[in-house]
Amino acid sequence: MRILLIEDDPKMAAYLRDGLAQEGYETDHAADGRDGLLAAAAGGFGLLIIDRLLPTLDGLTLLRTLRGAGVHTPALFLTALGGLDDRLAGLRAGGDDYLVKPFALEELAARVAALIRRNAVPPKPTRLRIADLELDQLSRTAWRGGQKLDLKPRELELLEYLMLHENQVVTRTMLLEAVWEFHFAPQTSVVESHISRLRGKVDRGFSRALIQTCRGAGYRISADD
Amino acid sequence: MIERRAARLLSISGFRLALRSVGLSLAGAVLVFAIIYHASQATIRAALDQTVAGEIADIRSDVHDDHKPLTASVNDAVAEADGTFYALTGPNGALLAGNLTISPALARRWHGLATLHRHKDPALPRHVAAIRGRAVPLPGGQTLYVAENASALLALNRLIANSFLAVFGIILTLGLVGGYLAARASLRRVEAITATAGEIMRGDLSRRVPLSGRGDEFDRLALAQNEMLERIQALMENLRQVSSDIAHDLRAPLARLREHLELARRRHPGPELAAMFDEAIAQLDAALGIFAAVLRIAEIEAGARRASFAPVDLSALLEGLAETYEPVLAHNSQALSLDIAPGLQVRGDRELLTQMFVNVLDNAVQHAPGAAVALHARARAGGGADLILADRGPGIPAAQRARALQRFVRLDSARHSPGSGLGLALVAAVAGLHGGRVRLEDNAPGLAVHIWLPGL
Repeated sequence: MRILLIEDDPKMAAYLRDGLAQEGYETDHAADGRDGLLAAAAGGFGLLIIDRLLPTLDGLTLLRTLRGAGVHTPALFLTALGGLDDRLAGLRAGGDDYLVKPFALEELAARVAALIRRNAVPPKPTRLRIADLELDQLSRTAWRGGQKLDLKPRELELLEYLMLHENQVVTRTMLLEAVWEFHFAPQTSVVESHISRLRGKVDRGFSRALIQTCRGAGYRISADD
Repeated sequence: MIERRAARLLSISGFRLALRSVGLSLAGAVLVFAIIYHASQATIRAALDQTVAGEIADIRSDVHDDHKPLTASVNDAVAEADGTFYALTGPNGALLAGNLTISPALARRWHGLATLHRHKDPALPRHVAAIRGRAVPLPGGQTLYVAENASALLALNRLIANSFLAVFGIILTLGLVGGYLAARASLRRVEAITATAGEIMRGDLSRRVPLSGRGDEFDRLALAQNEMLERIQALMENLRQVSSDIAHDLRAPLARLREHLELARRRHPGPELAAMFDEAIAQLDAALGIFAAVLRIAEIEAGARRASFAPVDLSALLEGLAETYEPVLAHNSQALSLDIAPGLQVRGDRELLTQMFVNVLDNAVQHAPGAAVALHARARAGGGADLILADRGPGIPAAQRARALQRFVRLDSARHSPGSGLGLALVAAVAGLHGGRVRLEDNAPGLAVHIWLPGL
């Protein structure tokens, strides 16, 4: 899977390419907006990572132009602009995700994986299944080993998000954004507390724990150990 | 509606000024008319009195010098009379000579000089409205009455009164209409300025006060305001520029430092080194977090977010947050009690309001471990919502409560717990952005964070 990185800072670009290579991705690099636009329009990429402040053509205009021309490659903005309206502007321009610098490589890797998979996998059935854990997205119900789980709406959303990203690491920030719509970091352990509750309901009493903690990165739901 | 309009008009200084000048003009008119009235009355009276005195002198000279009998003399005078009235009465009041009937009532009232009105004394001749004359007591109980037709005196009184009323009415009408128009014009200008100020406070810094082009005092005021707004906008843009410059230029090296640390950690996977790198990255993240919080507060205080305010279902938002924080509090051995009134609505920024409540809840989690927490939200009389998050923790001493809402203030008791000292400052900034207020109160024991937000 090839990723196009549009970033004018050579050090940042080298760091990103290095980090993404460790995750198994090949990257092409464009050092300004115009080159990036041309490369992205040529196609063949699974994901675009775009800086917002670029020479010759800013990131927002670049992506808006691409979207206008019918290029729907997933795009992630990676930018120092972290103001209240900046994220919204990025999403409005056609961005699929928005990550503010500085960031942890684990955070970027998790988001890149989620975006690429979202695009590659056909639409999910409405019934998610991992080992003996099942979740029906329409009736908002979940079962483990055939036993109905007593989940609160928020816990079900959390479980649903984890199951939609089966075998992928999802970070705390991704969960906060997707499940709680928090675009800031609370000072307390909101995610940890809810995961702990969810574990108590999903995994307690079963020999195999499906919800796993990836130290320093986030959580993952998987039937594998 | 009309009363409110009137009250609003009365509260305009221009209208009050107009009312005062109308009052002064009316007082002036009263004075002028009083002078005219007295002068004309005095002049006419003097002329009448002189004529009467002459007639009396004539009759006297007839009697004394020509030794004519008094009755004959009076009758002669009557014969020559033109608008003059004479009467000679005997001791019993009977008319001896003359063309004027003196009723007993009239005789009782008429001593010396007097003005008599027909509406009071119907016995006066038909064609006169009033007479003015003198009663002269004569030896032997007789009385001689000589009077002139004084109708002109009354006609003049009426004329003066009517003119006065007309002038009074015109001044009053013109004054009120003029004052109303002037007040309305100035009200319109003031409202234009107020509306502009409101839009600017809601975040549109590019607005300017419209000018009428007449160069009047309002235009001068508007010009000065517009210049001030120009300056404020320039400063705000400067601030925003500096902020985003800082965001880009100053955060960039810190971000790069973080990259280096991450790369180094990946390249040197010894457990001891990894722990050191993790600690260094955590410290750096804390510094970057403070930095982001400062920028966020500055951004909120700039007020530009007001432009995108929308109705927010506060009750639902709080219920959701309570559900979110219940496990966090439970994990911290804190019981949560809820009392959220349904249907609370405010106009605002959902994301910022969420962050505000999260900060308040975080504060309770961090500074009151093990203590019960209560969240109350109810409608406030007169609109808006009152929200109280009260804990049973150690609280904040009264003297330090106001300071706790300022930036970077970490009270001694909080020195060793996590946090940047910006949490409550952000709460105050968000409440301020929404036109609300935050107060820290004593929960005896514990802290009660009281937030008031205005309604839709």
